[in-house]
Amino acid sequence: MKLSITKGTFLDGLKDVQSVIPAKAVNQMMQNVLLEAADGKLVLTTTDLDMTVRREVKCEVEEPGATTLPAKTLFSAIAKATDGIVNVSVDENDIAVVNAARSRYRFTGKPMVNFPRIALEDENYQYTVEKAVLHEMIRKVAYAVSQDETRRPLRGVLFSFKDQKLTMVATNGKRMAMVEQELEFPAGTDRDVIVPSKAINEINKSLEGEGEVKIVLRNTNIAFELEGITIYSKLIDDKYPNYRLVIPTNLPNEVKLDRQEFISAIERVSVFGNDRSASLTFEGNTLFVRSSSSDIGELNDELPIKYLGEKIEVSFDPAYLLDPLKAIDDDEITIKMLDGSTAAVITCSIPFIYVIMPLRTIG
Amino acid sequence: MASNLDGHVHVLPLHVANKIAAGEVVERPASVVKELVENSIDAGSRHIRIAIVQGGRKLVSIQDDGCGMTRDDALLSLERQATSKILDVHDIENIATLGFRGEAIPSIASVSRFSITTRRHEFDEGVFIQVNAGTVAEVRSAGCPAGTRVEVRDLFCNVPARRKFLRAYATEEGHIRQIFVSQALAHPEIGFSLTLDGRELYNLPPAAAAKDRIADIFPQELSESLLPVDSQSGEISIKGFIERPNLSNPTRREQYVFINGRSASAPSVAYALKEAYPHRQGEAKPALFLFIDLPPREVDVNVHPAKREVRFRNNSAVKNALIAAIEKTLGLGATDGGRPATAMPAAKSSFAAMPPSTLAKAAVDKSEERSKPPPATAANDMPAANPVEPQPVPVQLALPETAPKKSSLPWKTFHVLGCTDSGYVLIETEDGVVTINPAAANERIAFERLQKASIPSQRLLLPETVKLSPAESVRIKNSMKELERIGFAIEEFGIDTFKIDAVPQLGDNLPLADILSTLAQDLAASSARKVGENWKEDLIARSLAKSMRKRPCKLDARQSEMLVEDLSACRMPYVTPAGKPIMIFTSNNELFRKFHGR
Repeated sequence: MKLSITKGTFLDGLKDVQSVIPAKAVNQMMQNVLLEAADGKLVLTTTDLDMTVRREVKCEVEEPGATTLPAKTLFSAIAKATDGIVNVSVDENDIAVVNAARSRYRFTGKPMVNFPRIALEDENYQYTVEKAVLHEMIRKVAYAVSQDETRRPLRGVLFSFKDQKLTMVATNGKRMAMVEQELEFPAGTDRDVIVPSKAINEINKSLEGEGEVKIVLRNTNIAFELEGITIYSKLIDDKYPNYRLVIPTNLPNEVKLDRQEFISAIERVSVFGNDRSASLTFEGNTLFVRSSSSDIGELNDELPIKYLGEKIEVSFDPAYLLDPLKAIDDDEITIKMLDGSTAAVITCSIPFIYVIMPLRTIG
Repeated sequence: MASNLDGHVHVLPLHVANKIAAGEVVERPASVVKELVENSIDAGSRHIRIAIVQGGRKLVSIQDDGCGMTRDDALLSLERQATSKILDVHDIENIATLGFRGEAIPSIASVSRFSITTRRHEFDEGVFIQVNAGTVAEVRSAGCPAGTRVEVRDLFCNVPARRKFLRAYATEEGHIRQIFVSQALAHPEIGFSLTLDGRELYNLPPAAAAKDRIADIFPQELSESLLPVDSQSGEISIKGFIERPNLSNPTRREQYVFINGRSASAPSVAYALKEAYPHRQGEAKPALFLFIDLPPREVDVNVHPAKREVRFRNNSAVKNALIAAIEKTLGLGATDGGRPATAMPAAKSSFAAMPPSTLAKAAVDKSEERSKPPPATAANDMPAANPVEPQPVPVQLALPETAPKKSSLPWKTFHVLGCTDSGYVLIETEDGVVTINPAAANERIAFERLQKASIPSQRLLLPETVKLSPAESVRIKNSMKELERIGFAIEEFGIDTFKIDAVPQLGDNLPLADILSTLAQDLAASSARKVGENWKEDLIARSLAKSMRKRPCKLDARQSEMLVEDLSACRMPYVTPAGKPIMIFTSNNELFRKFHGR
């Protein structure tokens, strides 16, 4: 394998595939980046077995071929190289010589045959989404994913392609965030899949700027294809709970309030951070926010709202309130409730629903 | 028992003398120091000055300001088994004074050139007696300060075999210092000084409390790392201080145990320590200063001639009291039984709670004080009216009524330096660097939240249904009430199946699908400790907290800060409920010492 590439391009490529490499790899091979040169392209691939990132960069291929090289070392070497053209040549024993200006590096690589490959069956479903749309949808739900490793399906975000809509749902069993977006896709390709939160974080990094994302679903994995970069991830092979059943329908008490003011009030609650509970009382166009800690003291706050219904007293985990409030862009949000002991719903002007269960004080 | 001890010296009846095992009292210069200091303490002294020359071979001199002796008493004290402290065999059962055998002075006088200069307060004139190798050489009246001065010169001058066994001066000095320190610790209300070959090594003014005395004797790092112990169970009172577990690498381990004011060792103390104190195999022992007080009849001090080892009548009671006291101090579990505010250990204060800067200042104040003459009022709690009938001196530990309820932290301010790849959080404090294990910290934080009655219950949007084994199912069914009180809402949902509708608000890591099964297993394994009425809730809290331990993942700056904040609010931030260390503190001093070899 023999190629020449500009330093900048090589470095960009290496940077994009780096983050997947596990800090402590079980398999030495996973510390390496797979380099494949052909047809005027260099393809860089890294994997941690759950996730694979594949990046294409332009280069001049003198002699096609493939090898794997230690990724972190290669990255630091190229980062420090003089600007200009970098020449890479690899012999049949996977010894790579990298020339950059007057510097000459030699790396001991490993044959590509042992590099773990993701299974790419032919049968697949394909959907196309705007980058910006996917980015926004992820922002609105990803924080709600569960940290509890014993509830496997909740460790990812549900992507539901159904009825010409993409619905994304995340929940930790105590609160749930859901966002919907109309999307055109051929009939008969309705599918529900759970994407691990690790993959969601990785994709999110590549969603800046304009352009489209092609989502390719296969039996056991999902691929996000962007210009020059493809991220593959295993799916969580489990059944997602029926989230539609969880959304309460008959919520007569509807409050409208200023999002920023509400955020500030809830953030003040964390002064008494020890008892994570914000007590809210909705009454006569006023919201009273109270937080107290038996050891330290208490906070009382009030803010104007639009609400004339019956008085409702309810307590929430302040973190569960702040997350969605920060993911919404509207100035005004709506909270719908039945009473202080059942699920409440936060909505805004777009098809976003956040369901939250209250806290209960024990005797 | 009605005591008609009047402070005068009596010859013990022979049957009493026989009851007391005769032993070798004088082993080495340090034992001379011990015997003579104990006599001075028993005489109600306020200040005791000790001077040593050549490791005590040349001279051991003890000057006190105690009650002194009359000429007759002084002469009588040179007779074997002459003691002012017991009259009858029954008195042995109730020994409250330090010395009692009546062996010390004659034994010492028989192997040295011995002199005693003494005057009772009420007399104008004192007496001087010189004894050479057991033979009274001179008795004359002498002008001297009130109190007693004993000088022991040329120890073992007539026992060459003994003399040969004495070690190098430094070794003998080491033994003397050890004796000195333990006597000084046991009696903070008495001023002590020790001079070795004309060089003053210690000058300890009478102190208000044991903690001041410890701070006077030991380096600041040690005294700062102590936690107060204060516990009473039945007639056994245990007070003192114990080192925070695993806070830093072992530097210096001082262990002093006092039983009814007497420096002593007892096997049950070591056992209790091993049981209750978090330790790893082969690890250095923690520094501790324990004052165990119990009715004299419960202790047998007449085991060892030098009274070094004692036995307890009710060994297991003392052992359990010790375990409880240590666990209480370390916040290991709710050993107090209750959950709300009352469950907090009552202890605290102590200089451990004092910010280090105050301590440093206090130390400066003290060193200034040392050069001044000690205040005359310092020891007015001594039974001055009749000082010859000594009482066991209660050790004042100065624990204030309004006890702050949490352990002090090794920091006042901190900032997070970061989180290592292996998942440990590093923070910098005003005094050094602290490494925190977040998993262990989470366990402690969760445990203390569960112990508060106020923990809210988080209702679940998606209830979790769990299938248990029949045995597990029974355990959970038997614990429904306690689980509910701690914040769970659980209902039976078919055979051995339970639906969880609400959980205590502990955070997102709680492993919901496993939690009931884990709880059931921990309940099954709990046969050992079912103490206190809330043992089950305590056990559930421990078990839940344990399940909050998550394998280390790297925390970001904000998460690290929140963790440290939450930990700071804990009353026992140093160890998990199971006694595993949460943090390792490395002081700047320690770093300096290690890098610069001092």
